[in-house]
Amino acid sequence: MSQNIMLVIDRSQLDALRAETKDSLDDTKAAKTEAASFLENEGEEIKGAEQAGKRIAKMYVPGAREVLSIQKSIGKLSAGNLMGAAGLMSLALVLYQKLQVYYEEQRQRFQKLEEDIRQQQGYNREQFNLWYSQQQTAMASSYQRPINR
Amino acid sequence: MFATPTILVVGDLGQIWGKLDWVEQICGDREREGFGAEELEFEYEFVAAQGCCGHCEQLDGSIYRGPFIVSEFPFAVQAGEEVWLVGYHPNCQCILKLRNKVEGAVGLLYGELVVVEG
Repeated sequence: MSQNIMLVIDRSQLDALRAETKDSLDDTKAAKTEAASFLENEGEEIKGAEQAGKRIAKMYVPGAREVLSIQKSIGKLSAGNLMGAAGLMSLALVLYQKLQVYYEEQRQRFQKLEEDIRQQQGYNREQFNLWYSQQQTAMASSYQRPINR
Repeated sequence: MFATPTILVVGDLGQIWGKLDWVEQICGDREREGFGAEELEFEYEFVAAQGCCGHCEQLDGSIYRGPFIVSEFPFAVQAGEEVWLVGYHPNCQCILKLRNKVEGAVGLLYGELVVVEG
């Protein structure tokens, strides 16, 4: 009779990481949905405002027709729409800041990894880049392939 | 001291979420099914019974990898998750005792997370 050796795994860190990732993912999805809905509903007004803004930027000598056009475009943005746009902007800013922090962490981790690997393996930068691209290929395929048991 | 392997998960948020799900699934499978006792990662120490024969006494303290139990000790019988009865000769009370259960299992688990080409 053969017995298997059981392993009790502490998955608390993994669970926490999954929860954190899911929260971030939900935030992003919610922001995307809100942005898509906003663009769908207010797209014309945004387009109008954008065109008006471009005209302002290009307008060296404003003529009466241009002024009327700008007023018309801006007039389409009601107070409610402006609030929605401001909310969306602030949400986008929060997401952008989060992503900046995330990318900075990733960049620092990568630098540390490069230093460690180069020190351990005695790689120069070119050899490290080759090694890293092989790792990336392996990881990308590991995401697509079934587990090899 | 055994160092726990670090698993790097890269990708966008969706990919990271997918990969963490995959890791979770593998961990769950292994907790339920465990690993075969003859895996190469597992190391067993020969513990000679007191007053056993001279041959067994010579082997006392020797370390064997899992698959070699079968080839080196054809009469060995698994007596528990971590113990094999050697059965080297009639009435032999010597055992092979697993000495790296956690390290071996974690190593095997980590190996499962690294996909082999081919």
